[in-house]
Amino acid sequence: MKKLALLILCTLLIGVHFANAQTKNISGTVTSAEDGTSIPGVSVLVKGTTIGTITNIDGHYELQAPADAEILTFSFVGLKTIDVPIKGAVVNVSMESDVLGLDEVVVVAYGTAKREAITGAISSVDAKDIETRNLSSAASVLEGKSPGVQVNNTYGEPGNDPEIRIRGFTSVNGSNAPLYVVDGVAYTGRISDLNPQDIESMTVLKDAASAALYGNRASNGVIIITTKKGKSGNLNINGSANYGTFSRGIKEFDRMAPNEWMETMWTGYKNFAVSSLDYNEVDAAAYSSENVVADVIKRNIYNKANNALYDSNGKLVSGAQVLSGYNDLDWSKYLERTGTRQEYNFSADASTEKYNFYTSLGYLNEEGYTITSNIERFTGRMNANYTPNKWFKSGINLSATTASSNYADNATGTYYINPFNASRHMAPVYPVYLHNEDGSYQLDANGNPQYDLTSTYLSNRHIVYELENDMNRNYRSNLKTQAFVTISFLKDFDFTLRGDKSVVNSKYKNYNNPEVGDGAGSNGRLYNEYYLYDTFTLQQQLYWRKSFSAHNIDVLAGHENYDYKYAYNYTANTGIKVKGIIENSNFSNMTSMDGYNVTYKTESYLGRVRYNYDEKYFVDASIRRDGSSRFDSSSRWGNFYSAGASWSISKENFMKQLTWVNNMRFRASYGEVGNDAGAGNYGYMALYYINQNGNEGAYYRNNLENKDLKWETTTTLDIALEGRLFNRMNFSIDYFDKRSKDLLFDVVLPLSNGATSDKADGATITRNIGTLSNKGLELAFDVDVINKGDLTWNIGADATFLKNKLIKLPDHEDILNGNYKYSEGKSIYEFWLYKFAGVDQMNGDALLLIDDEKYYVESTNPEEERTAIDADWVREVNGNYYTINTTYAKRDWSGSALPDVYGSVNTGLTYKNFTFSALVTYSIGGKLYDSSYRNLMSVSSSGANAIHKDLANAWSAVPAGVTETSANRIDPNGIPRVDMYYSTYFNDMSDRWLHDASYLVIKNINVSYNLPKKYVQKMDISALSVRLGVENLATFTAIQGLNPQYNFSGGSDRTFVTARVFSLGVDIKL
Amino acid sequence: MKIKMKNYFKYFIGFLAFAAMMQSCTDNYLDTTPTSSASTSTVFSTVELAEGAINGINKLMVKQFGDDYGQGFNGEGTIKLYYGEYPGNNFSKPYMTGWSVIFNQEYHEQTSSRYNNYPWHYYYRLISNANMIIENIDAAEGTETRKQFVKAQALTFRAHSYTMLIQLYAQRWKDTQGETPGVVLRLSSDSEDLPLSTSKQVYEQIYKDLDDAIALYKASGESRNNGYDPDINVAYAIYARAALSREDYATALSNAKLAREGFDLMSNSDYVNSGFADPTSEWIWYSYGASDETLYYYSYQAYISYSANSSAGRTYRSCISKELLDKIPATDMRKDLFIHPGLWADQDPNTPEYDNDYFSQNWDVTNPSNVNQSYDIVVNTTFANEIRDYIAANFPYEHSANGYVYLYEHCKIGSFDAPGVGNTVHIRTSEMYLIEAECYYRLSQEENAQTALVELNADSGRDPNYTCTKTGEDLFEEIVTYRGLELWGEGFDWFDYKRWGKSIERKSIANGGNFHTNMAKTIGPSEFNAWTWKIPLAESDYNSEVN
Repeated sequence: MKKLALLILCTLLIGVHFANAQTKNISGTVTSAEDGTSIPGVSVLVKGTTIGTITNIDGHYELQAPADAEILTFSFVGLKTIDVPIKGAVVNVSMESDVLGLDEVVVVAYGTAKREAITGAISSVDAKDIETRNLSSAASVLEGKSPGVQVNNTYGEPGNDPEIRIRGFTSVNGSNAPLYVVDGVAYTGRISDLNPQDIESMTVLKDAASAALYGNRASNGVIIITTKKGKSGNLNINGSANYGTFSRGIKEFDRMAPNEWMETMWTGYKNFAVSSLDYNEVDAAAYSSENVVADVIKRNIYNKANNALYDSNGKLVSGAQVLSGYNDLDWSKYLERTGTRQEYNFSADASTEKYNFYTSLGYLNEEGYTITSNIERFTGRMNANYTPNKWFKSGINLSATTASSNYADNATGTYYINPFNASRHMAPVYPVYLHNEDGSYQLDANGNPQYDLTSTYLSNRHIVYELENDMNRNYRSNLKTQAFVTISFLKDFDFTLRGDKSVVNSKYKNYNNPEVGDGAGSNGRLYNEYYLYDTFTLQQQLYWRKSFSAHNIDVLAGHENYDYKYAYNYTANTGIKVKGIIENSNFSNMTSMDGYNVTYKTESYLGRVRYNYDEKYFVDASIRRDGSSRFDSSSRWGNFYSAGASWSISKENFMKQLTWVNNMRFRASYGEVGNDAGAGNYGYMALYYINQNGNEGAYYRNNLENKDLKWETTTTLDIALEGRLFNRMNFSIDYFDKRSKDLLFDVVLPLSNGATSDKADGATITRNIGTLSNKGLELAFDVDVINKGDLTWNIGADATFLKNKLIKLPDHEDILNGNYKYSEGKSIYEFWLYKFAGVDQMNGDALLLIDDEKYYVESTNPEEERTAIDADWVREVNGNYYTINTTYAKRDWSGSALPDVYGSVNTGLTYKNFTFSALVTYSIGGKLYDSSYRNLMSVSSSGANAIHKDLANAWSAVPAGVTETSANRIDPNGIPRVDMYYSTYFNDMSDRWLHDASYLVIKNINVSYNLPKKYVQKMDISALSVRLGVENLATFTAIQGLNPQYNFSGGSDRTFVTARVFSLGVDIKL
Repeated sequence: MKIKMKNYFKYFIGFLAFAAMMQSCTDNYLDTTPTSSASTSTVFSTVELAEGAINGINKLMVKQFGDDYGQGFNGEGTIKLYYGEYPGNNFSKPYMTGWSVIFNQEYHEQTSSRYNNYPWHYYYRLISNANMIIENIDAAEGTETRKQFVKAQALTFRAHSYTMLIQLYAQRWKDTQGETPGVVLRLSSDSEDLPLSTSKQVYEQIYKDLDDAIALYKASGESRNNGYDPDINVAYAIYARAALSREDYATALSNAKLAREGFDLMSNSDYVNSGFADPTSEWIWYSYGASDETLYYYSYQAYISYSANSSAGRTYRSCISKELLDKIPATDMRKDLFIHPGLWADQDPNTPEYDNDYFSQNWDVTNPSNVNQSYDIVVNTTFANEIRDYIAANFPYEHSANGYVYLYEHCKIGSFDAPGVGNTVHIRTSEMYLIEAECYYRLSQEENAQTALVELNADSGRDPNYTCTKTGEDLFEEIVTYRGLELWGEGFDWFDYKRWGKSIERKSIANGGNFHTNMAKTIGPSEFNAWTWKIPLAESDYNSEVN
């Protein structure tokens, strides 16, 4: 033992001596090629050794290199690594930013990799892309930033996360959403709980090979988010302030003004009298003139009596006009606003050899564009890493977010207090305020106008009053803690233990006031909902790395378990005591309470091998075994794997002569990943819902058993070529074939099997059925159009062509799914709708094709198995039969909701200290079923609603030249007559309501100006920039009012549309 | 030395780490259990828990049906209103013109409509839950007698559900003698596709289920704990109903008599003061309602109760047909449950005061400034307050202050808490007497029919002056009238008219009735698919055996 110690001491001494004798001093300064400023923190390494240093705050370095040292390697994140020959004692270097990106180190599953070593399809955005955007959810940044990634970022409620689909749709049942991984562990919170300014990078793993290590939930792709670390030698302090406006980004549908509307209503009721009461035209006209206001409209804001408004043709009589006081008919004025958006951030970071840290504070206050919506969010973060010596490394990440928001609980469908339903569909003759007979406001004692709270046509309700006096508030806190320790042992081994615990508390407080609305019937009511989410992840990873001659290999073995649970508690109270106190104690009756918890767990074993030869040929393979609590113990475990290869062609000798090829590589991968998201937490069990009746337990079925339920698996083949040409153009071409089998699917059984939910077709059972494919091509390029001195201009574009197709269904039988049908060879969002034939120009009837497989009009076959249609529903035109009732109508394929191609175009321009960037996203093809438009085109005797201007073109008389026998008697693009009796038939579901879903969105424009160094230095700061940005400047669609990005399946709703955000910001670095 | 120590330390940590990695979680780490639901095996582990599954069906009869249905869909109460009353002959919500398609039976062939779909959804949900109990109860732990009782209850639910389904989705017995397609007979939890059975087969199954249920009830010797649970009387009553609609009058007669044993007709005081919200002596079966199990605006009472504090209750009040009420003598206490001129009139038309009374002098209902002529809404505030005062003085619950006051609105069905909370009655003794009267009439025992009517109307005290000597068609019309009056609002109207093959004839206000023009229709028995709801798309789209 003593001997050994001596030996070591000797060696050390000799070494020192040796070093003293054989070194040379080298020093120099590293500056930026862009602006000539010095760069601190650059790593300087004598090539082929471990001797090195980093530059100090002035960008200066000094080191002692071996006498025979020839080359110094300079590297820094975001800059191109360069090798500089040592020619003398001073080596000054100017470093360029890394536009190429191929050398860049990217975060991948369970580690990092050089981009060129990656065999799968990934794309990433970094802090720079995020920092310039005024978005509350970082996930929104991905829109238009990565081919193959679809982002629906149009739910313009403050604090909302976008919906994202990566390379199509792999699952039929429920979730197609990607998995988020934050700092190495699966993340189940909201992305908007993260401060975007804290994010260093986001990497999208698009194919199975790159995502395989997240096998159990990776089939929809993975988005890896990595938060910032301290990275430069000196202390960095950043501050930024943003101030802007938040407003509605898409216009409303074009609707009729009062006069035109009144006349359309008259026509509708006149035709009702003909159709339903069998009146002749003259009597019907008189009936409508006499009754339409009293029976249907139920409010008269005109200067004539109810029955003195119309002439015999249904036109308003001359002199009839809206009384002058009615300037409160546009409800959107009272429901929408332009909100303000403020965001302030502060961060500090530093890095030394032994530790680094990043800390930040953020504040966001965003007012929505509806009168009550807003969010106020505080975020804080501390990331610290410690490396006290060579064999030990550890780190801690702490982040905390609290947010309180007023949200719109009912901003969907036809809920009375859905502001979007109200402002879109409110009849244009209903005023917000009470009026006197003469039209003037009926003022209260203080001289203020009063809301109209007692109108029966508004069902004694008033949305503005209710929004102002009710409450939908969410209080949310998200606390996330993570720690890891890495021990290096033996020669090439690392062991990492990582634990992550995250707790989210979310409380919803919903209050309805006792005066008007849902709370009026029970003297005010209050619901409190409490969610406590608790997620724990534990990972153990063992790495082995080895390089010998040109062979580089690394191996990972790991184990992970994931435990997610949430507890839910609910109370409902009625009968408020003291007005204004909205707490449980202030209500007299408890009407309901509920509480339960849900647990979901997974456990995984994983392994990966990566090998490369001379950084030219790369291969990797991984395997993973996963268990999920969502399946019965007999079918719980699934095995997933992947393999990939990448070839850096440009490094081959035979490519050297092609000097215009700066970089080129080819890669291919294949892999299989799993998905259990479609299964529901207890989806395999036969379940009874626990309710109560008469204060005793009452149980009824709410899930059917399927013990065979197992993992849905997705395999992806990915082939790509990418590179850089002429030193100014980057390109990538990527082909993928993604196939999902054993799809988890809620199979609808005949309803007579007994529903397990309140859905109209609620008899369902979850099964693994069918195979689904997504094939596609992703193209992307960008080119430096100008790159000289002060001026650079870059243009880029990408396009994704995607084909989604069901390959196999059980027994090859089609499966109906609402307005869609699943069928082999078709996509999963293929419309299957009643076929609208057109409008009969003789009478304005809406005609549908007859389902002649089930029904007949005139039988030729005495053994007819079909059913006869009652003559009431049949129309004959030129010897052909049609029906006006969807019950007897034929359904057929009507097109897909999925676009043919989608993508983005972006450009960036830098001139001296100015930068300009713009992003446009587009989608071409696909259809959208527009139920709002359908409603606006219908008139009903059950209530008066707004009417679309297009209804002015409805059939009203036989057009000139058309006769009974005209070949063009049916107008396929016609609008049926306005008839309150037949409206439900004429405007029933059919392919008539499909619109082209193509769109173009000017997503983002940014202009910024960096104050020149000389001024900045005078101010004793290191940088100052001013930025002006706008999100969602304009959206272009087939018809005004359409929200083309509402969802991926071509649906629509009366809800938040995209928000337009203007913002002015200042960033300061100390 | 120190260096060496460090290495050991590293190996030690490395070993620990490796051990930590290799140690997988325990075998049952991935076993999780739900807490808002219970597994089938738990529910059928003991008979006590299985009784909770019976109570679960009770709950399905009175719960909010959200998702695709929404407000107004509450189980059995929805069947009563939307399917029994709205499209019938005697019920009116004059102001609710937008619902004329439902009142006028125009959705029978709208197979994608939720109105077409709902009874199918609802009753098959009861049936599937009953089937599970029938299949699994024998293996549960518990006494044999209790298991027999639970199984009998499940069979009772199944029979009730099929009785209702067959009346809605199949053609009337009178026209077809049960030979045409009825509904899907689903008697187990197997999910195979099944064709429609004929009505006859369905009635046979109903009879069989009830025979089995009655035998099991008797064998068990057990009795129910709550009036909202089914028991042997409920089974008899459903038997009587099923047999009545199958025109098997002898069976209906005997079962109706058995059903009402132990359930005497309620007193006049209970008739008014229970407000049909609390059980009385004649409630054979009902659904539970209470403030702490409120359905809010979804409930039957929120739509029909005279004290409902919901806009559906306040704005669109439920009224009786004026024509029907006019047939009822002033001596009948039931007439005073409805707002009509006689309430303010001298009750004796032969006195001179009659022509000069308070009502006819001051409250001329033909005067537009008193009453809105399209809807019978009282617009004269003093008159409206007069009516409110009458209600306040004579009935247990408050006429909700906001909203309208209507002529011919009722004060029969109330709710003891806002917006509309109350128990909902399904079977009463009164109905059994009416079944008996009808069966006696059909079996040509007219005297017995008259006696049944007298027992119901006079002996009960409801109209002490009531006598009945009518025969033939007049006697039948008498039964029709009193069935209409006694069971008004309770969901029988449309079912009765369908069974009888009688036309619905509603008169407009202008023609002496009190229906709005849009609902003042005559609907013949063969119209609108012969009053037969077509099989919903949610069945035919997914069942290869059903077209």
